[in-house]
Amino acid sequence: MVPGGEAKLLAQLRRGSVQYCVLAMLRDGERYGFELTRELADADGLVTSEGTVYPLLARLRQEGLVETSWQESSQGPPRRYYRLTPDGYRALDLFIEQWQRFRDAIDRLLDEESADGRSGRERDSDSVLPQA
Amino acid sequence: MEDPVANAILTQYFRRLEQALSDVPVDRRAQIVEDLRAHVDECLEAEPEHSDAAVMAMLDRVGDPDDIAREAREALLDETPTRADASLAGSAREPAGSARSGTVTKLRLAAAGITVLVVVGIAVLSLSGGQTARARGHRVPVARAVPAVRLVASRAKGAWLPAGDVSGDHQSPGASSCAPQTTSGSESASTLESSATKVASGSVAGQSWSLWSKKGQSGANGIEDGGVVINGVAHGLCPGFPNPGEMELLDPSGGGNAVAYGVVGYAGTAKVAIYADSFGNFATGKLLATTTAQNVNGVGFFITPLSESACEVSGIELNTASSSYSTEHNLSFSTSSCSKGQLVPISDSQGIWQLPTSGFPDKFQDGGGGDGGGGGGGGGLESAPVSKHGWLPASDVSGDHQSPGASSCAPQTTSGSESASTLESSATKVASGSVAGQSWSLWSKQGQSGSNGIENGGIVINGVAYGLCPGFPNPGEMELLEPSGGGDGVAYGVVGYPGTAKVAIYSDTFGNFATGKLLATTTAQNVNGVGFFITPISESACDVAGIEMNTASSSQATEHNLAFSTHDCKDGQLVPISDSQGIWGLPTSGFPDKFQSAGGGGAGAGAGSGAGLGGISKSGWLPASDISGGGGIDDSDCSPQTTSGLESASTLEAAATKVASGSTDGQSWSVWSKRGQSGANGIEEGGVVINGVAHGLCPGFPNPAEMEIFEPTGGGNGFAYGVVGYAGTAKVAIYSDTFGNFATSKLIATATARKVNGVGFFFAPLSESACTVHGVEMNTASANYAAEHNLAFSAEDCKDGQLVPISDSQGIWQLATKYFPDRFQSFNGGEGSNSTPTLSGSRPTA
Repeated sequence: MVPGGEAKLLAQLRRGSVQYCVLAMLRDGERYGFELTRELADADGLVTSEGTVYPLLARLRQEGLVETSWQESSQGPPRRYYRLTPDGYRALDLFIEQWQRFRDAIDRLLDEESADGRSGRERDSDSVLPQA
Repeated sequence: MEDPVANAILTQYFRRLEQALSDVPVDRRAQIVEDLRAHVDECLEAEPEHSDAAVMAMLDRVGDPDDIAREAREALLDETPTRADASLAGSAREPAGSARSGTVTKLRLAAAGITVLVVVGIAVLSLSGGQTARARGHRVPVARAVPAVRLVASRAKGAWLPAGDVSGDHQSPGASSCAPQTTSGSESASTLESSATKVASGSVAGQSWSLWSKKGQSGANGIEDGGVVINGVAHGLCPGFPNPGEMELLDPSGGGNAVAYGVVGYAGTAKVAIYADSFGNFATGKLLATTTAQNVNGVGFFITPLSESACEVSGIELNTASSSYSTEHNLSFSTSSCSKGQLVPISDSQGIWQLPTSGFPDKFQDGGGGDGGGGGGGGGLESAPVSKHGWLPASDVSGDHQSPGASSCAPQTTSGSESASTLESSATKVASGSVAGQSWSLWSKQGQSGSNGIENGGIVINGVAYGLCPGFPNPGEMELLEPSGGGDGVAYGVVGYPGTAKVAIYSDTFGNFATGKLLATTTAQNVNGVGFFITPISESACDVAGIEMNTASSSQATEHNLAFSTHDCKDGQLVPISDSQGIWGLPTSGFPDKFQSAGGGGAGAGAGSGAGLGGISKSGWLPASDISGGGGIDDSDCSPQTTSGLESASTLEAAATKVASGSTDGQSWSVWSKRGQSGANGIEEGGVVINGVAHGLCPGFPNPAEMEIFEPTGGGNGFAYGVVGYAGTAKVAIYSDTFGNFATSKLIATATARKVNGVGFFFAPLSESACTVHGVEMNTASANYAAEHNLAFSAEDCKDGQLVPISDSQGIWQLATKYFPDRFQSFNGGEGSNSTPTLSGSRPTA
């Protein structure tokens, strides 16, 4: 079992992938922060709360994967819109390619484990994942 | 948001967030907080209900500040090593045992575990020959707007204060290593001297110095890109331009006390006071030096010894006052890196610029007679009145206090004959006690709660019922009673924020927010969910024509300036309130000015029990102020001209470059920027040609919102044009208004300033003749900032084909866009769906 249980397991899974989910949400065009965070928060398990998305967005800006601009809004104050940079597109493409391989590899392993008659829960107890 | 409790919840939330993010670099912290404030605003816009419960539910969804801060720290650790090292880890000079380093160590250990799964993933990526996306050098500039929460009723502007940062690159010690250098002390003077021009020299504390301005540059910029040579060694001045108050701290090569030098970016000489201070506020501790910045390179330069070693000064409050503006700059220094012959690295800084000289700096007055902390001794700067007249916007308030008659509210405030039984039968007693020998009880109207209940209930003093004029939702109200039999007055009132609150009551004239004689200090007790106080004052109520009531609860502070009709003062009655204005929702940390002196027992004849109120810090809430130059019609008579309408366009055109042109309702116009200049400055020193005649734009630079109004030849409706000095496009709304406030009356023009010469320029028709406009409220909102400019026009001098002379003006700059302008919100979300205001009248025809 991962120390900390389900919450920690989810946190670890998120950690390497959520940023790419954000990039994917921007693949088809720019969106503003509120819209992004709402959608991410509504996706089960991807983020713990809406607010935690903003540090991630700040990081993506810092790393040059997204860029922002202020745009007028007919609904209120100007909004900060996010869009992918060329680096962002490249990072997303790379992730998609690698994620599929990664996911398939994991799925294969899990399937094999199931086929062998050993449950994932029993496997967890062997602490394959290093502890913090 | 008009619910004070909900506002307090929001305030508390963002305070927790700021605290949780305290070890995140300041630029990142500002960005995250700004984003979250925008997010919360969006949530509020989307929610029809703004009850306490709804706000709390919304904040639950936004997330726990600790979780957000954790995410922020983890994101930093995941970034490129350069960035992470420079921000969270600090510089190599930072001691390993420092709190910051300790934090980082823990973070790194934690991250080591947490990132395990990612490592697995990344390993897969690496094995497959992929690249990670982390090796990016590009850094997106961070907007430096200091956001403010919309905390208060739309009529008040508490919480709007912008005061922004700062030097830009001072967030970590490493960032202080600017050209020529500020840390190593090994820069050759010859390198500097070959690329710069000597603009001043002298000696200080036995050391010779010379000041160099980078060739091809001028003003503060030139000096900051040039440097200072002290005893043959070149030192820099970390760029702060256009911030107008910068300094460095040198530990001299021979040891001894520090030398401070710096630039005051306003024209002319300036007074400078340097105090010890901790970082994060704008308080003034021990006075370390006072000096005068001399006019050098068009700005002010100072160099002065301090009274302590540079290695002992971990924080500084730099206060400056030029003829037109003042500044406060609060800096922290990495004293652990202090080394002889070198500048002490600046580790952080925050500043407030363009404060009115008349009201500033707080402790300049003390400096004249004391040595910080309100004590005696020590010479200082010449006293300046601590008045805020003219720059605090704070609109009114309770709405019903404009005349004495309006103060006669239930049960009553003037007659003193109301039966207590009537009140008591319709209300619930919520508190009681005695004050100055008189028993009192407080009653909340049945079925009501909070401030509302008390204000619609009343108070019984010695068997007579009195009221408290309703101010709700304004959170700082009071009444003044002249007791039966005379003697000193009694003040009582409500602080509408939850919990206890400190209250200080000063004599004052009406119309400003200055603090005169301290009449009372006390503590408002938690009653009915809000704060209630009752206290004797040190004078007869009949002698008090004006009051400055300052309150500070745990979450917010207020200033309420009231006028009393003392000629109606009678024994046993309340003194009628004749006028009032208030500022609500101020951050507690920055307020009120004189609480410190009151708590320390310094000023006034404190009659109450309040003591030890918080420090005098104004972090984050002070507005940039003023204005076009001090009033007077002559001020408008600027180049090329704004009044005669006779200036030849050819003269202007020969000296300037056309940067824009267009035609608006039959008026052809072109904008010209003076050659060799750029931005707002260029336009303001250039001009506008309308139908072949040159007109000026009175210089307001660096004020970022200037305008002129023009009466066309042949009459008809007028036109307005002007500059918005922030980058990019901007919304502009122009209202008729009287001068002296920042209210918005009839909307007479709207425009979008388009990008011209690096700033915004607009040319818009008015909905009425320029000759009928005596005053305007010009509201602008660019992407980053908003501004309010209140101008008076000399309509009696209005002539066809000419600009109407500006007779006075006052401005507030660098407001957070999202909370501004006042009426933009209602345009956007209320009255219509347009993103820009809609003129209420019919549009003029050409």
